[in-house]
Amino acid sequence: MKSPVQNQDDLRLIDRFKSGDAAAFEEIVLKHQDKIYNLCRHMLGNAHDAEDAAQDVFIKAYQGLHKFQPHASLYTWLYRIAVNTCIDYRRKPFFESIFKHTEEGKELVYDLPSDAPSPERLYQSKQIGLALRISLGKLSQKLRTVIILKEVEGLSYEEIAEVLDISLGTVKSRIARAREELLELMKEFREQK
Amino acid sequence: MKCRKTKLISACIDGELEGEEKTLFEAHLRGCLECSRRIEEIRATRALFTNAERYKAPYGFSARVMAKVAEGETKRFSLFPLWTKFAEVVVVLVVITVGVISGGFLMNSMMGQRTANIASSFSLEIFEPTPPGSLGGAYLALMETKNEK
Repeated sequence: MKSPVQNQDDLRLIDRFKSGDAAAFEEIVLKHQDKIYNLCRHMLGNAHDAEDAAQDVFIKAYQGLHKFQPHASLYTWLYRIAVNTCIDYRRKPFFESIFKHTEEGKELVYDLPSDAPSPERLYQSKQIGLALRISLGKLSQKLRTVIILKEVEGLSYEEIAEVLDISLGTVKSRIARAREELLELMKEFREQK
Repeated sequence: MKCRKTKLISACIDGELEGEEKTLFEAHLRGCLECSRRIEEIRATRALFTNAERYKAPYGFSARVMAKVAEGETKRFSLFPLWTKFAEVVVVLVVITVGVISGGFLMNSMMGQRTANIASSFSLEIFEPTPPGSLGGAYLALMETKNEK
């Protein structure tokens, strides 16, 4: 399997960390925090759990970085920790995460694109986004993980294979299945409306 | 009926098909209504992800991580005195055990002498008016020897 290219900056930061420079770890956090938080946010569906999980990811990374072998790239290693943390972290069903509790009861939550221009467009994108999130939530853990890594994080097949420690063939078939199932779920959602 | 080539759609979308496989599938797409419709549907679904929000870590995230890391380090070091106390307790227990065992050995070696002392304490000779070791006993013994002569 072709391994993702190791980033030289990351290697230098790891070397500094291993030689006792604690500030190097903060630089690693600052460099990768948005990617990891974004993954956790999409995997877990709500901001609170996502922050807790993302913090856990970096704490685990801090504890394991001394043993980190540079044959893997740092960001795929962090993604791997994040995926495993999110899988362990799912204390409540995915669909629960699209609701927030208000005084009037449960209210649907969807993170709108910041440049949405009109109320109709807002409504439409809200509905589509909601459909996507609910459909994603109905996928199995394995398919949801692979599709988020591919479509949200934009990882290549090789990178996904490294993050999940599976073969390229498995990545291809899981992505294909995830897309097929997602498409059917989205159709079902539209038909119910 | 589902076309058997639909399984190649995903790889085609991601540009994972190469060479002859790619050429053949592209030719197939031009003639297969099912696959060409399916590929458009999947592309449309994929497009929804492009509108998905890219979340940034909340303000102060790295500081909170570093604080937790420092807290973890403090806890790790605070375990050190606990281990020291544990070692102290072990040393005290070892000293006590060694003391008890060596005390037992000493007791055993002194037991013979002690038994003789106890036996002499219980001897009936001490009840005689002139026991053999006393001044009266020595006088009587002297007299007995003189009378025999």
